[in-house]
Amino acid sequence: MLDSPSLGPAIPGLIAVRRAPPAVEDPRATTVADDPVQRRDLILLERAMAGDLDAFNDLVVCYQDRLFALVVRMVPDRDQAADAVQEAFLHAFRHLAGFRGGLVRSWLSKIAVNAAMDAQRFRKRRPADPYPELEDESWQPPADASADPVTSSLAAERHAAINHALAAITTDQRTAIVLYDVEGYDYGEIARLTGVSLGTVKSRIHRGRLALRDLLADRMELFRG
Amino acid sequence: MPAEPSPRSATPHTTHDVVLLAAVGDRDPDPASRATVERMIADCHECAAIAEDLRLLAIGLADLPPSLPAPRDMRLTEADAARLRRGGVWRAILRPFGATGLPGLRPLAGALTALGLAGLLMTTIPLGLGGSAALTEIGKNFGAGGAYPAASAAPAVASSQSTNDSAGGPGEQSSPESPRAAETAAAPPASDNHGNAGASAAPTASDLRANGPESTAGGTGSSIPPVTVISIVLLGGGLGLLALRLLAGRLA
Repeated sequence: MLDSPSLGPAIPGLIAVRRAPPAVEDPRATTVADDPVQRRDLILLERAMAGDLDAFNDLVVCYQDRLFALVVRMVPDRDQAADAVQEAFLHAFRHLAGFRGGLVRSWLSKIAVNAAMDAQRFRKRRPADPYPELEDESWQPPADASADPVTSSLAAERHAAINHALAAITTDQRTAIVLYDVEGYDYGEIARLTGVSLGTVKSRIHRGRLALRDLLADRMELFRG
Repeated sequence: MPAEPSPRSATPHTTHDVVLLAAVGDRDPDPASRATVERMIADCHECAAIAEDLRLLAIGLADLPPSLPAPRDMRLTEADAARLRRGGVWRAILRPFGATGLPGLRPLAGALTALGLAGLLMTTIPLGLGGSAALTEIGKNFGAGGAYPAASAAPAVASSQSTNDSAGGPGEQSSPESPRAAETAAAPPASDNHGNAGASAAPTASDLRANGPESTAGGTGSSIPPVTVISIVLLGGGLGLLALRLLAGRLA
């Protein structure tokens, strides 16, 4: 229609835009140039696809701590969380060919989230003791050496308090809050990942925050400092 | 005790929707609810305190460390990789049966299983209601293309009236073919020109009259009614599809 000769002379600028070669949206091509981490990840991934196990293991080393942090907040049991992360890496290796572009980090995170939700379902079917590892504070991340000791101590205490409170709310609320508030997913992505409606996701996040506030009511001074 | 109104608010705090307040931590709050929340915060001390706590909590959550030291090395060994690569062929074969495979496979499997179970129930339950003779008649009539005997569940199987009903069905008694149907049913197995093994091997109505239902119970052991066979096939197919789906899920 826009390319028709009758419209051509009347709207030359529009035709020029229309006849311009279409922009090919290749997430790999567009992100490689921008992000050195993504460039590194894609190189490792391509080598892994070609059968290089060491390249895949390099990816594992790069992301295991990050994925563990994500999963252990959804499944607050260190052993189960570690198993879920391991399962996520096995799944990723098995489905290397299923990578459709985009950020490797997001791809791995989504696999890990699914593995974490599988672990949650498994836990629901076979309820065990309520997360004994949470009593052990030694798994908190090491404090930054350059930071003020008081600040570091406060931050560690705050993180521990949040982790305790997160472990005490419902699994659905915890998953939604971790994905939205901690990992930065948007409502739509969370709805797709968890298989519920957008309204349900919002409701879980909002009610979960209120539940967290109730649980942390007498420790809010940690957050004000 | 009635809730006291907040000093700044015309309405008591307990009437305020605190779930709306939880949206203060959202990155892109709904404009409509944002206005309501701002009004609540401005008008009610308690709401303002809750909103402030929630805002601090959102900051605290976002401030959690992005990575934690994994308790073990997650790197794959050569053995893991070899095992995962070996499973590729089976995964490829079973992929169509998996959750992301053919659409409608799960309902189909469920339907086949349900049909198979229903068929099996239909052929076994009459044992308790009308005796095994009725079951035999179901199978025989099904195999011979006869009408489904609606009166087969009647308790008086041993009586000749009931036998006639089972042979032709009550609906056929008024039809012109009824005598012929009864004759076909009463004929010896050799005269069954439909060539159905189940029908020819099943006891006839005359057997029923002569021996009663007890003898028929022993007779059914040698033949399986076609309805049962079909039900077993359907049940097997449905369960097989479900098993393949489960296996594909495990391999995926």
